[in-house]
Parts: sequence; C-alpha cells; structure tokens
Amino acid sequence: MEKKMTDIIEVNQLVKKFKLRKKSTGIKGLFRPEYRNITAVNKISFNIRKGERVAFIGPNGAGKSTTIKMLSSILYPTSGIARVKGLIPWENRAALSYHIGTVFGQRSQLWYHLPVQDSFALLARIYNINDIAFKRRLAGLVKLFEIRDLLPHPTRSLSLGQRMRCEIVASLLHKPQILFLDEPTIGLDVTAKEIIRNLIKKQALEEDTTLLLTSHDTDDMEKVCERVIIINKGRLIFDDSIAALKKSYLSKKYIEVTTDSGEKIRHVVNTGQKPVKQALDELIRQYHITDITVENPPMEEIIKEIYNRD
Amino acid sequence: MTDAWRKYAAFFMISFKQSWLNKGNLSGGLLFLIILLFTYNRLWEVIGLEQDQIGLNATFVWYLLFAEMIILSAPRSERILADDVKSGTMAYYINKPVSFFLMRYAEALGAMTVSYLSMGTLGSLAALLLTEKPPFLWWQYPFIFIACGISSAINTLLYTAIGLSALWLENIRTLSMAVQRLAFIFGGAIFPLTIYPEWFVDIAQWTPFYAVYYLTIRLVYDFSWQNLGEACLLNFLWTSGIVAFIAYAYRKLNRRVNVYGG
Repeated sequence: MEKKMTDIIEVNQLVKKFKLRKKSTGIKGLFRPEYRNITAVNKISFNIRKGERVAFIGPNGAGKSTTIKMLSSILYPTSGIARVKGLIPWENRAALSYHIGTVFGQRSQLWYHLPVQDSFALLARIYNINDIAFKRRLAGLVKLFEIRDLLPHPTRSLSLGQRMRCEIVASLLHKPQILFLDEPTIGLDVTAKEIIRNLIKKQALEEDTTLLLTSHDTDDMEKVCERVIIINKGRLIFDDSIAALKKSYLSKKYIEVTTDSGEKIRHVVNTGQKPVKQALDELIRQYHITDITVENPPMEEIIKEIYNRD
Repeated sequence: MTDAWRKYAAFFMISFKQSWLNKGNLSGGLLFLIILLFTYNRLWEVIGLEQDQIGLNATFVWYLLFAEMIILSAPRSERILADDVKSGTMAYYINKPVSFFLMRYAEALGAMTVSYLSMGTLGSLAALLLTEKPPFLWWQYPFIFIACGISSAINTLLYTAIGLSALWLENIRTLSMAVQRLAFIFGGAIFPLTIYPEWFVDIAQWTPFYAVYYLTIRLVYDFSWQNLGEACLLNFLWTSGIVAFIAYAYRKLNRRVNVYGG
C-alpha cells in the first residue's frame, strides 16, 4: 500500500478474531470446553489523511465497531498492523489518548449521577488540562454545541440527543486531532440526528479534525463525510468518495407518504431519471398527504448491489 | 502535587462530596453502628459484672467501634469493579490517560473517608456516653484513629482488588463473602484474638486480616510504640503483596479485555 506523508491513520491487513465458547450440554463440555473462532475483521487495509471525514459503514455485525475499537486502542488485534498518528494504538495507549477522542453511541463517558459540568471537569483533570485552558475550551464548545442549559443537570436527566451533544463535547475537551464516532446517532429521532450530524461536521471543519464515523445509517455518511468505506462480514468491500457511491449505488430514493385516510404508500424513485422534487410534486397532486419521508436505500440493499455488480 | 495525583485527587473529592450529600446511606450505617455498640455494651456489662471485672465493657465497646469503623466504612467497591469488568465499561476507559483501577479506588476512598469520619466522630461520642472512660489515654486517640483509618484504606484496596478477579471468576460475590467471613474470624473483628486458642492465632498470623484488622485494632486496649510499629510494618508488607497482585491482574486484564457488541 502506498504510504502518503499526510496519512494520519494507516491500517494494514488488520484481523480480529474472537474466541467463543461453544454451548455444550454433556459432561465432557464441563471439563473440555470447545471453542469456535469468529472473524470479526478480516484483513482490512486503508489509509486516512489528516482532516478527512470518513464514514465507516456496514450492517450490524460487519466489524465496524471492532475496527474502531482497535484503532482507538481498546482492543488488541489478532494480526495485522495499524498506526494512528504514527503510533501503534494498542502499544501506545497513554501517548495516543491525548490525540484521539472517542464517542460510543451506546456507552457514556459522562458520570451518570454527576452534573454534566462536573463530568467535564473530571475529564479535564484526566487529560491534564489546566484550569484556564479548560475554561476557554469549554466555553467555545458549549457555544458551538449549544449546551449551556444542560451543564448543571446530571447526565441521567438528559434526553438521548442532549446526552449525545454532551458526549461529543466531552470527547473534544482535550482538542484531539482524530475523532472516532461509533454510531453517534443510534436511537435518536430524525431532528436530533440532523442536529448531531450538523454539529459534528461543523466542528470537524472548524478545527480540521479527522473523523472516522461508524454507522449503519447511510444518511450519517451523506451529511457528514466526504469518503466512505463499506465493510461487510469483516471484509472491506467499497472505499471511495461519497460522490462516487451516490452516483453508483445511491441513485434510488424511497418516498413514503401517508394519506389523510391513514394509508401508507411507498414509492421508489430513480434520481438519475427523475429528481426527488418532481416525484414529490406528482405524489402531492395525486393524494391528500399528511406525512412524507424520503429515505436512502437501506445498507443491506447497497451491499447487495455492490456484490451483484462485482 | 503532580498532574497524575491531581486527577485521582479529583475523583476522591467528587466521591467524597457525593457520599456526604447521600445522607440516607450515611445515617443507615451510623444507626447500625450505634445499635451494635449499645447491644454489645449491655452484653459486656453483664459479663463484666458476673466476672467482677469493672470496665470490661469499655475495652470491648471501643474495640468493636474501631473494628466496625474499618469494616463498615469500606464501600462495596468490588461489586462496582466486577460489574465494570463484566459489562466492558472498563474497556472504554483504557484509551484515556488514567488508570481505571486507581480511578475506582480513589472514588472508593472518597466514600470510605466520609463513612470513616462520621462513624469515628459519632461512634466515639456514643462509646464515650456508654462507657464513661476509654481503655486508652486521650493522647493516644489520634494515633489509633489514623492507624485504623489507614487499615480501612487497605481494606478498601483489598475489596477493590477482589473486583479484578472478575477476570477469572463468573461471580465474585462468593469470594467477596468468603473474604469477609475470614476477615471477621482471623482479623478478630468481633472479639480480640487473645480469646481464641493459640493454634488459631498461629494460623491467623499468616493471613492479611491479622495485620489489616487485628494488629491495628489491638492498639485500642494495648497501645505501645512497638505495637504501632509492628502494625505499620506488617500492613505495609501485606499492602505491597496486594499491590503486586493488582499490578499483575491489571496487566492481564488490559490485554484480555473484551467489549460486547463490537
């Protein structure tokens, strides 16, 4: 693989296997348990340049989170090598921690019972940020993420969307150059998803932060990233710009309308042949519509399409 | 203070504040301690009268007070840490510049300190009201108080370390309960070891509980510089052993850590 000087993340033939104990019913299983290997990540390689915003997408169980956990120094790989800011993550945890920030949508790094501002203060201590720098940094992030009103409230009292904004602020306090976001919009409603996506992108552009975002929601990659890596069953199956993916695989849009009689009608539009606006106009003329949603094809369909064309 | 210690001091302080505000937990423990002191005082008063030993109750009540201060002030940190290991929570702290174990220990120490200070203050007042005169001289009190405080911190360390054993054990509660029972017996947490047969004391001497509990609490009725020195030395040696186990287990844990849903 050609190594570029500006590459901030380099992944080469990375493999992660998990050893799982087989369920056994007999007595033999008590003394000699049998194991099976699950290959979560299978020889994936890619490079990411500084300041790039990359979506790392795939269906559930594709190996996205496992990869991000190896790159963010949480997991040891079974084989292969990765360098993040020139450091091997699992061998340089402490040194790397000052350069990376992590957000795991299904985990919180905030203290559940503490007011959000106290959690931030603890994280500032963890990263050895002095008081003046912390106050200045926090003021900027509070303004950007609009969380001033949330600061005195304990994490437990926040909605998922509010908590996610605070989680992202928490991960940015030490001004990391690379931000790993693992399913940051999981469980959020449409409005909250949109807010989070906009904020992530705005922050990355303002501070030239390198983003690696995992999601199984194709809208996340469209709205935030410029490049997409798709993996399925641990293997890398697509690595190109969002524009290339859109042109090749995201030409279809699903429009679902709800009529005033409560009927739901689903239309598939090929945007290469007909713009979404024109399709919507036609639907509005045809039905008395009370609700409209426009969606990209689900991840599984895109992957199927990639395999079909290959 | 270096940056490294400042971060753990922050965890200590936040936990200290939280525990102080949690009046419900605090008063429950205090109430239990006072009932225990009252009950045992009555028991030893009766035994003392029967055996014609005036002041026997004072020795046992103050002994029991310091024993319970060590035991009851330790929070159930092993359960918290075991849950962190099992649920994978710990994994998410691995990529932060902090030792997860020390962070949890600092939090446990914060909670322990609040309990220890309140039990020490109110328990001493209660013991004084019940017994008129303690079995030690008043100038010895701060030494006993600090020595037992250190023992309580070591006891908290021991239980936090038990949490790490979740790496190998499916359920750490059994181990935790076993250690607790052994501590009561070999540590002389209810009765001083002097009332047990000699062979029993010989066995107890080879356990950490003898140093962490008994040698320190013994200062209540047998204070001397030599006994204080012996308690400090043996506690230091056992603490070194516990720290060595923690360092070993923590290194193993860092490599073996697994995260569900990856």
